[in-house]
Amino acid sequence: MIQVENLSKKFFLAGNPFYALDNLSFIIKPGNFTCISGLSGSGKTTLLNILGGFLHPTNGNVIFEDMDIHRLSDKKASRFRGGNIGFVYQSFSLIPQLTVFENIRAPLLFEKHGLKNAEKKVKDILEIVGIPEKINEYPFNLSGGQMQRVAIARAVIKNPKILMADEPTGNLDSKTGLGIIKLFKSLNTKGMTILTVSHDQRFIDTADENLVLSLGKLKKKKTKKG
Amino acid sequence: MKNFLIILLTNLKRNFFRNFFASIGIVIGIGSLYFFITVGTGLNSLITSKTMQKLPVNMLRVRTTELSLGIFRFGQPSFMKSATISEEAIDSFKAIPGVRKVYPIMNVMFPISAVISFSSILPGARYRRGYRTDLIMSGAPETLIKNDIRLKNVSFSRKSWPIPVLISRHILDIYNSGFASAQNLPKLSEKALLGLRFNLILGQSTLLRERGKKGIRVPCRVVGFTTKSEMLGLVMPLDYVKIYNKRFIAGFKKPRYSSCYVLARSSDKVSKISDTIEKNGYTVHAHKKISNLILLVTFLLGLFSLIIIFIAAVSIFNAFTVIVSQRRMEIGLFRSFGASRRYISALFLSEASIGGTVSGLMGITLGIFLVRLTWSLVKDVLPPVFPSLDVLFPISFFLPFVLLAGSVITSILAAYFPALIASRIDISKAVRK
Repeated sequence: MIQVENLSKKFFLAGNPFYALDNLSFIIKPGNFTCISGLSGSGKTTLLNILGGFLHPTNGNVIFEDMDIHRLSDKKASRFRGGNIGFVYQSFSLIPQLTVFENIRAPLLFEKHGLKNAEKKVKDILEIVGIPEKINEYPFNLSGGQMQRVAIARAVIKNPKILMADEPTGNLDSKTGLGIIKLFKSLNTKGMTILTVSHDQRFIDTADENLVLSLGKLKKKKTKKG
Repeated sequence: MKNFLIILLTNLKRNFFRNFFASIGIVIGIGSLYFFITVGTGLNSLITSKTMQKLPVNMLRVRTTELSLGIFRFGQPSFMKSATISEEAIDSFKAIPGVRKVYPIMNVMFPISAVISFSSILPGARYRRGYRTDLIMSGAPETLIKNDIRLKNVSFSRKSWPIPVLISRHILDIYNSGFASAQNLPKLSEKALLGLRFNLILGQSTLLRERGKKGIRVPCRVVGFTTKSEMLGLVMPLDYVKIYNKRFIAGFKKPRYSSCYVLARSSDKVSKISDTIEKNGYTVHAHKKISNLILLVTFLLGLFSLIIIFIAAVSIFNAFTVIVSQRRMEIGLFRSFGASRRYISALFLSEASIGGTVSGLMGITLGIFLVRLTWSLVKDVLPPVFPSLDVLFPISFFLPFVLLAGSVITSILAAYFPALIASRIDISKAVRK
């Protein structure tokens, strides 16, 4: 599904160059649950941002279903992002002035005919994430776990090919985090490809594949089977 | 498009107060611009159409320059060169290059009044009594006012008897717009007054009587209407005024004119002629000069309004910059949902254009309100040349549209750079709060 070839990302810190990612190559298969782990500063989030098309690499390619996403124009890249990838962030990133319904519906506004059956789609997805009763609430009335469930619902409302998450349990307590991990697993069971950045051991254990980064280099690639 | 509108309206609703306060400057600027342009246009067209009516663009009016100190005006000391307009001065004006003709005007310099009976034009016993009024009379050559004479076969010279007179159109305006209704008299048309006979009483007025001299009654007949008179005066043949001034004023030997009209060969010569005459100490009134002065004042007031609008634009720029920085996460989210850079720019520019439209409409409403308010405050103290609202504040069909377009364009320009910044936000940083 995603083929990463010789990927590097160079940043400048106080005028000195350093490689956040250094010559990475790997493949993410469709339907897989992949976790990227590693110590802080190892380049996990940078890698996720490049795979999501938010950040351009210094070198290398990211091939998504035969399409090099970093060679697309802004318009095509935006369309690609909107149609194929759902994002979940550590800080939930819900728009505080919008209700749960409006927050989840938001991605549909950027799709042609996206609003068709929008209400049903939102209700169905809220059932899946387990908070159907919160549909008319505002984010500030929700707990951290509920907010993350809304963020997940928003990310999957367009039924993306891959769900990318950056430390989705990072702001949650242990029990709530477990609920979110289970939710990710259940989405994966339904066929959705999941790529998450986390150093939560439970996520690493749940994932089919674990990519361990260290100082921008791919140190280990573990699979459940191997 | 529908989805775009939903996002747009949601954003506008969310940022209503911020947008509103940022746009107040535009509202004030557009409102004041509407007011100043309207009043400037009104004054300009009034000068053109009323005060300077039928004064061709190549005609100048020359007067003696008066000294004034606060509320008092002293005329001009006799030792000064331009205290009066003498025959020599008239000759010198004629000699100025570009001058085609000079028409001297001489005012009657002694008390004068008229007894007018309306019985001939207003039948009925009620109006039989003669009405006595003081007058301002001036004399003009026939060549100047021949186009204003409406009665046929009338010679505007000392050979005509009764004395032919022309009435100032302003008098008729004032009579019809105020005096007639106040005295419960019918309004009069020019046609009704044409041919009216009345007696002038020379040497007597309701205020003054020339000592030792009896008033002389002379018959007059209205032969036409003019604007080339003093504002509220009558005009008779110049020769009659010369004769009567000699008779009533001791020491009046040489003719002294109160003003004169100077006809230039073409309108482009007016400026040079005007400068030459002014250098000799006279005051020159020209169609162009007064219009230009009003245009200048209008321009300066308009400039003031534009400065307000510029400050408003800076305020909109500032507000949008703050809005963009506060909505970074939202912009990042929209980008991750599939919005292109262009889409984000269009979203902000559309917000600005809607803000500009609303501000423009509010500004125009404010301008109309200011116009109405000003009119209601000043209408009772204005001279009768402003009979109605649309004279002082003429309603322009295009002005609101021009101002509305200006408001929208200003808002879009002010929001352009913040919108550009918004479209270039780093998504990866924006979504990480």
